[in-house]
Amino acid sequence: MTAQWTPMRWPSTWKDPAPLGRLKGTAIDYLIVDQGDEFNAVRARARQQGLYVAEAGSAVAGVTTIKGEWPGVRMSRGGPAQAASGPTGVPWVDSNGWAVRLAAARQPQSAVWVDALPSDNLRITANAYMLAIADSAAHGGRWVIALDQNLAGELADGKPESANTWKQIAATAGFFAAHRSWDQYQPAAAAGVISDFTGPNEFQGQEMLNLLARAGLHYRILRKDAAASFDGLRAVIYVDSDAPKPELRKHVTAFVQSGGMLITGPAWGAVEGPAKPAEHPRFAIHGMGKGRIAIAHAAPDDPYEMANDAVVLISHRYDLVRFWNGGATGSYYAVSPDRKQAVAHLFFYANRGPDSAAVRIAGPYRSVKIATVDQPEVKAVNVELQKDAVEVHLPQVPQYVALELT
Amino acid sequence: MQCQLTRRQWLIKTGAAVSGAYAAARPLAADAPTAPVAVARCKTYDAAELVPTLQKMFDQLGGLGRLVKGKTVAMKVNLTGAPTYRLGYLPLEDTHYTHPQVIAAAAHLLSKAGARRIRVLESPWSTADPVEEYILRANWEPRDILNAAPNVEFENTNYLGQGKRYSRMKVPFGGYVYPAFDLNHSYEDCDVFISIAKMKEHATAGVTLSMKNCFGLTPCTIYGTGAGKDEPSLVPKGGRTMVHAGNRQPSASAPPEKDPSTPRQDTYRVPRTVVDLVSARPIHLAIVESIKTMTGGEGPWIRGDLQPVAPGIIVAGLNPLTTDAVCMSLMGFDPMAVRGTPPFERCDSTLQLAEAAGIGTRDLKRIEVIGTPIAEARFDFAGMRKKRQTAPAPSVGIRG
Repeated sequence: MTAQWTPMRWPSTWKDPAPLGRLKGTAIDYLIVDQGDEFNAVRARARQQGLYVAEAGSAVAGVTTIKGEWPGVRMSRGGPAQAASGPTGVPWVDSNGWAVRLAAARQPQSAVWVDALPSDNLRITANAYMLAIADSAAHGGRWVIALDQNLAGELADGKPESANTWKQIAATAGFFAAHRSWDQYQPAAAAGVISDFTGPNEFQGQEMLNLLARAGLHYRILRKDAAASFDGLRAVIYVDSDAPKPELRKHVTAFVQSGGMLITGPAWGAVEGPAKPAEHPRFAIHGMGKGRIAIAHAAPDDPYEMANDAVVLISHRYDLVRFWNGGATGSYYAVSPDRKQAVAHLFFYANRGPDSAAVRIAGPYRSVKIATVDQPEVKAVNVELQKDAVEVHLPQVPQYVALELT
Repeated sequence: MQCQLTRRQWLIKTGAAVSGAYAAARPLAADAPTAPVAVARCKTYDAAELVPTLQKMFDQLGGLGRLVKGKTVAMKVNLTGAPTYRLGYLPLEDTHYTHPQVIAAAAHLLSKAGARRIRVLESPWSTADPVEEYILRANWEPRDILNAAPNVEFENTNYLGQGKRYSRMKVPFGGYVYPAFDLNHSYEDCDVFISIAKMKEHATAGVTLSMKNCFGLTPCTIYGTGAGKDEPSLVPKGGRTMVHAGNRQPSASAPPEKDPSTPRQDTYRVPRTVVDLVSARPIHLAIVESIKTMTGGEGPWIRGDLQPVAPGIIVAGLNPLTTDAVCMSLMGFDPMAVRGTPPFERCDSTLQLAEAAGIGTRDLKRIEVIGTPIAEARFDFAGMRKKRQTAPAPSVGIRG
């Protein structure tokens, strides 16, 4: 994946090119400008300034643009005071990370941009903008920076508070532009999700990616039509509604026989040998070689239940990232090509970062440094060494933190 | 062992089981059953110190063999709150969870004493996941407990679990709030029931010890926020607001409250419900560990000045009320305290209610304390509480 540009949607109320001055010295280098002659001056000045310019609604060469969600804890219809909950009461978090990764898996040579507009009805804080940028960028994509109407208006009017929000936006964009090497890192994973993610499998396949991430399971996306390595995985999950092709079945069977686990639905087909007696209410568990196959009794139709079942079937023993005192959390853990270092991107989706959170990160790493948008210079952090893991005691942190592990 | 009868047998024998008439039938405090309580200092969770300490305590109580040989033993542990909540950066077992080393040591000694099967029970927060998976999220290793003896297993009792039906457990004296409970089968399918608790204060009930630990017997599929209206839900969702607040009845398949016109206050309902539960599911052995614990409440979600502490105490007894009475004294509280006095400033005393229900005595003059004298082991929770109550509450950050 490549993320050579940092895009921004030019506010439709900014007909005057003067605000282009704000972009000088920032990482923002690609402007998406509305169609219409009234923006000619903006386009011309932008190009003079060395910026790339594209028209809103038109395709950008080398870029896959996906429709995204405004990331964070989803608010209920009753208003901003109440967060919506998932089926077990956990706050419902919207994130675009899975969609960025899926787009990148489908188009590895393209940059991935996320088009998600802020609500004009809510006051968007500087931290919410930070989270919106980080949520996409940490996964290798770029959120197309889009200012809400209030902010655009206040920036145009030169209101001081809006300048602080703009400063945070620019700093966050700059933070990720300065860490482009992370885009080459590969996801650390306990499981692989195999699907074509399209047609009849689009909903189940894509929701599995979304909800597995929400449930804290770190995964690799394995396209059904491409030869994929299962190296390092504990399990693979196959949720498509059609039977696998013989080559895929053979590949997965070999993985199970060597000690891996397959989690799947009835579409997988028959498995030799009896299931272990009543080990799981919704799955029949078969032993095969050194591994296991868990086949759902019924075709999976609830990805939330399927995702949470998968986490337990694989076991929390193999959690790669474990949080304490984090609230509504998310993480993306990626390893450098030479596997000598890694980065754990941590997200705290509540209104502000936690004051005494801890995180356990599995892996061979023994040293951890912390970087935030406000303090991009990495610095050491308190670490407790554990068997095959480090536990990091975070100081008061903002809603996004990067941990560099070596 | 002083009493050869189970609490249930005793209650039936004495006629205290007359429904609704406990006040008339209750034994006088002077006649309430008593049993010795062993107290020991134990500075660490190191097995080299912990196992012999517990062994000695059990021997002082007459030996585990008499109680558990050839029996199925169920141990209710205390894993309150989600495993993702910590007090600061401290492991959960150092503040508010029963420590896994204590659970493992007890399992080891029970097996050594001839227990046929040892079942570790808990109703973990809002999940039907196996207890093993739950404790992994607390950073525990389930094998530390499972391998403590050859016959140890876990069961999540917050739902139907491995049973085919819920067990109807009647409150012999008729009950304060509930006349009976529908519980996971594990609480009926055992010969011996042990409560292994953490010594803590409690925001609603004043203290949480071996009896309050049994509040978690109730499955949230019937007594929880997401309980089914007519039938139990398949999986537990949320906490036990209905038991705390009395805002609704359990699933219609389970016995309803006796009198919905009683106060809808948690400080009234929780102590009474605890006594109902302890009567319905008598405790044969109470263990309260306080090697490390916390002051100020039962978990890190409580507002206030919460402090990790290391009293270095373990308490065990064959009667939960006498055990809890000794624990209260070790905490610097008067076990004879009533509503309005520490630690029951806002709530009724579970101990007083349990005594009135005939479970035992809370009168220290009638309780034989074996091992370390109370005065030598006391840790001043009461003094810290008093100091805390005169200081302004600290600001609290986001703890998830």
